[in-house]
Order: sequence, then structure tokens, then C-alpha cells
Amino acid sequence: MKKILLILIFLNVGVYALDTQSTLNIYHEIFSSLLGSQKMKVYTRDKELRQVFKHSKKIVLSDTLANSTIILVSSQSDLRRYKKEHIEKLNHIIMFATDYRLLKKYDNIVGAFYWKKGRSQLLFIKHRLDKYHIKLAPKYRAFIVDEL
Amino acid sequence: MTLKNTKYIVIILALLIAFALYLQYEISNNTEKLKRLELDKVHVHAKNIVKFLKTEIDGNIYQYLVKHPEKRQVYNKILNTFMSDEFKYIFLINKDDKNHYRFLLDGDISEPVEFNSLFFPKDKQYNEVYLFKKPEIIEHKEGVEEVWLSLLYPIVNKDKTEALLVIDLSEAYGKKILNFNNPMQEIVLYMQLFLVISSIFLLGTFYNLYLLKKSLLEDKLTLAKTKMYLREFFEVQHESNYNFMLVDIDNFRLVNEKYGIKAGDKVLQDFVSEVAYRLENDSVIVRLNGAEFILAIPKKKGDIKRVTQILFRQLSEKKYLVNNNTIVLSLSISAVDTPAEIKSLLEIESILEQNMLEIKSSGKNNYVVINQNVENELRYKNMDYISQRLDNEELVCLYQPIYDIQTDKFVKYEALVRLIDNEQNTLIEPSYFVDTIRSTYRYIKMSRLVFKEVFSVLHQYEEVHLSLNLDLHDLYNEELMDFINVELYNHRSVAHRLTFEILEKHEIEDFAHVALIFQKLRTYGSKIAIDDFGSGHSNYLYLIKLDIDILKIDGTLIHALKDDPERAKVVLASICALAEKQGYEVVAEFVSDSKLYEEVKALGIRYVQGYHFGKPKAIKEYCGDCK
Repeated sequence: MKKILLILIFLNVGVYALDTQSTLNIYHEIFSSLLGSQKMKVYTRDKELRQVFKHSKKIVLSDTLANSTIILVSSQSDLRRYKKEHIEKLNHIIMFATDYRLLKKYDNIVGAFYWKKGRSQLLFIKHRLDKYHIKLAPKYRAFIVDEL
Repeated sequence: MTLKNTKYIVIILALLIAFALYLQYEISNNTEKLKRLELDKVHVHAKNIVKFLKTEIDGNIYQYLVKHPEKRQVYNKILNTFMSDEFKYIFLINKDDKNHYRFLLDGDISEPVEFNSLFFPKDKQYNEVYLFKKPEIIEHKEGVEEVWLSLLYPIVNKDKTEALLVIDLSEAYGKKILNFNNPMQEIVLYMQLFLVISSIFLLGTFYNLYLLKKSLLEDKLTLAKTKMYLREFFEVQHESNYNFMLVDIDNFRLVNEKYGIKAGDKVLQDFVSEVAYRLENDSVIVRLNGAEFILAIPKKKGDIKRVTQILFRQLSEKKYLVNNNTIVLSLSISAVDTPAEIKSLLEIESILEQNMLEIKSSGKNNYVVINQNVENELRYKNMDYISQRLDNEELVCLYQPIYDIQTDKFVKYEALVRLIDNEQNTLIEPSYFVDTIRSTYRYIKMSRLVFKEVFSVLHQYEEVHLSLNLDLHDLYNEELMDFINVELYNHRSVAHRLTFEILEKHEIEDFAHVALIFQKLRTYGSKIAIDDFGSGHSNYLYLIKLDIDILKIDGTLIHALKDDPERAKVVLASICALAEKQGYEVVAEFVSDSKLYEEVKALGIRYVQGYHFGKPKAIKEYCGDCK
């Protein structure tokens, strides 16, 4: 019985590790294409994502907006808070969203990675990327749109 | 477990494996069938939705929905009615000017996507369906969650794809479909597992059987084959393609006694190696027991007589080193030139053993090759053949006369039984068939037929006396003796004209018993003669222990009058003197010519029997004029 229990626990841990790792891989790829050689210091208020990023050796979680190189926006409340904190002052920091609507709502967000109809969606907006002088690798060209 | 049984087990197992594979195939087919049925259903839904939209929307769908935002809600609700556990998502997309897909309608009213919002499908099929206007099914692998299959259904207007209807089948439902046959699949899996284990077990059993069989088929000591091997060998080979030899190392027991068992074993090993070396590979060497071997030699090796002669010489000359001593072996070989009609190995063994006995009794260290009349010999010794003759009463008695020198008349006739071989128009002598049937009820049957014939002759010819052979074995056959006593009683009026000639191949151990039987046989006046007196076990002790009437002197003693007349005369004279004193009648057998007749006559022997006076013939030929 103990053995079965242990196997079940290990299996769960294994699945969890797999999910975390694949999510990390996706974000790592996106961030590295956005930041180039810049260090990946990510600021996000999303607790789940913070938990995921904790496991990364490449992505560093930032506790303050000012110290980050990329801001990951997950909700409207995040946006409101950033506005409060005079996000305009933080214009040089790249913003990336986890929702289509956020991308549509806020002009500073360069792209988004989200799930729609069970499918993963990656989207970048060309003129916003240009604003940050970001040139994405050719493999991301199919995901760049002029406007939403 | 016999070979036959294992064959059945293998067949059953093979059938079960085939059945399990068939089930597996059927289950897999069934799952595919279920999947196809579901997809057909999706196609019907898609067709109905598209039909509905086409009837509702006149012109370009995108433009219509842009112009009539209120209709989007209506159509979304309609799409929603199709949604169930089975269909996870139903939505409509189109391509904009920049070839980006955008949502037009969405059946998910709880969390609807924004009209005209972007959609990035990863699969190439979207473009293909858009281009070729043919519905297609996508099976998702990665980058998609909770969706099993998607149907992409193009909405074509004026030969142009205006939009794609996407119906997603839920992953949960897919699992349900795919797992529908799981219980059956599990049963088949367990069945396959059972079959695999059974096969492994069976393989193990076969291997053990193989080892066991090997040990049963090969003699561990000499590496010669066993009798079981020989039997199996001749299940596939025909005996008639081989000649056979029975080889016995004479008195091998003495080698063991003198040099020890270990040394004896070494000699046996060397002996088998020598035989194998001399006969080469295509012959089969079988160790029967101890120092007795059967050799099966292919006929292509040549004339068996020559092969036996050479092998006998080679093996007899072979020297064996035993404990620093050199010894040679004395051998007895009985060989047979196997006839084409041979039916079984047993028949061959029987011939070989019989001839081996003859070699042994004539001094060993010799060989005999049987190649004449073997066919007939085998046939005549066959129980079925003899039984058939007896059942058909194909039996006859021939009579050889006994001549009285004093009266110059035939005084008696010895009845000699023969079976009739109608096929070859010949008569079969008892030496072929008597031993085969001696211990069976057929022997009694034969005796009944003989007595019937003999008493018939005695009744028919009132002056004729007959004699009849009885083997010592017969005296111990209660059933036969009871029958004879009854017959004697039934024919007591003629019984005094019957003489029983007692043949003796073995020594009498119980004289009292034999004496009692003689007494019973003589009750009605029958006489007792000792046959072949002077040879083998028929010795003087009989004359002391038993009451007899006649001595029939063995033919070899009579023939000795030719080879060594002086000594033979002394012996025969002494027998005659003894007989005279005791009051026995004396009959000289095998008197085959006039010279012997004169010699016998000179010795004072009154009765003579032999070819000189008459061969065994039908009684009519001697007694045509008898009363």
C-alpha cells in the first residue's frame, strides 16, 4: 500500500514538474526573444506565475517594477495598480500580457500569450514592438500583427 | 505428457492466440467504428449549422454580421444549443485581408470571444480547408487543451470560402469513446497475458521433455541409442530399408567380475565406439541391456552376410586394454536380411532373439545370418495368421507309418499336425506356429481339432493304431489335460489304440505330477512313449521315475550309425538291452535308407520309422484298404 501511495505521489510531482517546466520554457522563449541579451527580470503580481518562475534558473523574479526588465500583466487590477504607480515613468520596461483583452486595452503591452478555445495563442503587435526597438526572431513572424 | 497430447495443447494454444489476436483486431476496429460514427454525427451537425446560416444570411457572412451586431447574439445562442459534453467548442472564423483568422461567432455564451478578435491556429489544415473547400478532421497533439478532434467545415459561397465552422469534440468525450472497449480490452489483455505465461510454461515443459526424452533415447554410459529411440526411428523410417543384427558380448559378466564394473563400463564404451567406427554414421547402434546391442544397418551398405562376417571378424579381433591387461571379446551375432514385407520391429527382434538362442546353445562366439524363407517364417509365426487358419479349421494331420520288422507290417501311424497355407498351396509345420500359440486358448482350439481328427481316424479304421505328440508343457496345462481326459473317456472304445509321445525340451522337475498324468492317460489303455530318447533331457531318470511303454530312440543316435557306427552300436545296443529287460517297445526314428534299416535290424530293434518306410501322408494313402 505504501509503495502505491509513494508511486502516486511521485507521479503527481512528475506531472506538476512537467507542467511547470513547459510553462517556463514558453515564457523563457518569449522573454528571451523580447529582451535579447538583457537579463530576464520579471515583475508580475500573478501568484501562480510567480510560483512557476521560482523554479527557473534563467528568469529572475523582480519584487519591484523599477528593477524589472519585463512586466507580465495578468489582470485589469494589475493594470490599474501600474497606472497608480505612474507606469508612464516605466515606459522603457517591456510589458507582456496573459490575456487578449489586456493587450487590446493597453497600448504599451507588446504582446500576449493566452489560451483561447483550448488553443495556445501568441500575439505580438508590430508598432508596439517597434516602439521598443524589438526585432523578433523569424520564427515569431507569423504571430506579429499590425493591429488587433 | 505424450507427444500426441502436447501436439493438441500446442494446437489449442495456437488457436487461443489466434482468437486473442482476432479479438484485439475486432476491438480496435470497433473503437475506430465508434470514432467514425461520432465524426459522422459531427458532420451532420456541421452541415445543419451551415445550412441554417446560409438560409439566414444572404450575402457575405462577415459583412452581414458587421452590419447586424444583434444577430451575432442570436446565432451564438443557436450554436450554443449544439454544445454538449460531446462538443467542447463551436465557433465560426474567417480570414481577414491580411490572412489573419478572426472570430465571427462563438457558441460558448458563458465566455464568448470578442467579435472579430484574432485567432492563431497552429495547424496547417485551416489554410488547406480554406483553400480547397473540403471539410477536414484535425487530431490535436500539442498546444491544444481539452480538445480531442476538430472538424473544420468550410462555408462556401460562390465558390469562395467565406468562413470556417469549427466544431471541437471534447477530450473527455474522446476518452469515453476510446475507453468504451476498455473492459473488453482488459479481458483480452489478461487473456494474452495468460497465453504468454502458458506459452512460456509450455516452452519450459517442452524443454524438460526434450531433456527427458534425450535421456530416454540415449544410453548415458555408451552414448549408444536406446530401444525407445529405435522405435521412434522406425516410426519414420521403414524397417525394410535396414538389415538388423543382434550382437551379444558373450559372458560379459565375467569381465565385470574379473576387472570390476568401472573397467567393464570402459570396455562397453570402447566396444560401442569400435562398432560406430566400423559402421559409420548412417547405422543405428542400440544398447538393449548389459552387453546386448541391436544394430540397424542400411541395406545400401551391402549384403548383410558379408557385412556381418566382416564386422564379426573386426570386433572379435579388437583388443581392449583393461587394467593393464589386453583382452578380446567373444561375440554372438544374429543377423537378418530384412524382407520387404516386414511389418514391425517386434517381428525382427523375435527372429533375431530366436536365432541368438540357437547360437548360444551351440557354443556362442559365432554369427548366423537369416535370409531364407524369412518372409514365410514371419507370416507363419504371426498370431493373426495362425488364428485365422484355426478359425477356418485349415488344419490337417499327416501320418507317418511305424513299421514292424518282425511282422513286416505297418503297425502304427504317428499323427503330425500341419496348418494349411492355401495361398502358397503348402503345409505349415508346427515348429513355426506352436510356440506362438502355446500359452493361448488357440492352442486348446488346435488340440481339439487334432483330437477330433485322430479319434475320427481311429473310429474309421478299426485296426489302425495312432500316436500323437504331447509336449511336457501340455502336461501342466490343466485345461488341455481335462479336455484330453474327457476325450479319452468319450472315445474309450478306441483309446487303447492311441499312444502319447511325450516330447521333452526341458527337464522334468516334478516327476510325481507327471507320473500321475501318465496314469490318467493310460486309464483307457492308451500307451506312453518317450520321444527322442537319448537326446537332451530325455534321460534314464525317466525310466526310473515314470511308467512308460515305448522308447522312441532319437534320430541323431540312429544317424550316428553312419558317422561313427562302432560307438553308436554300443550305445544303441545298451538301450535295446535295457528296453528288453524293462519290457519297453523300441522304435528307431529317422531310418531314411536301407543301410540304416539293415543296421537297426541287426541291432534287434523291432519297430522303425523314417522316410525309408514312408513320408508323412494322408491316412487314406496308407490305409485305403484298411478296415
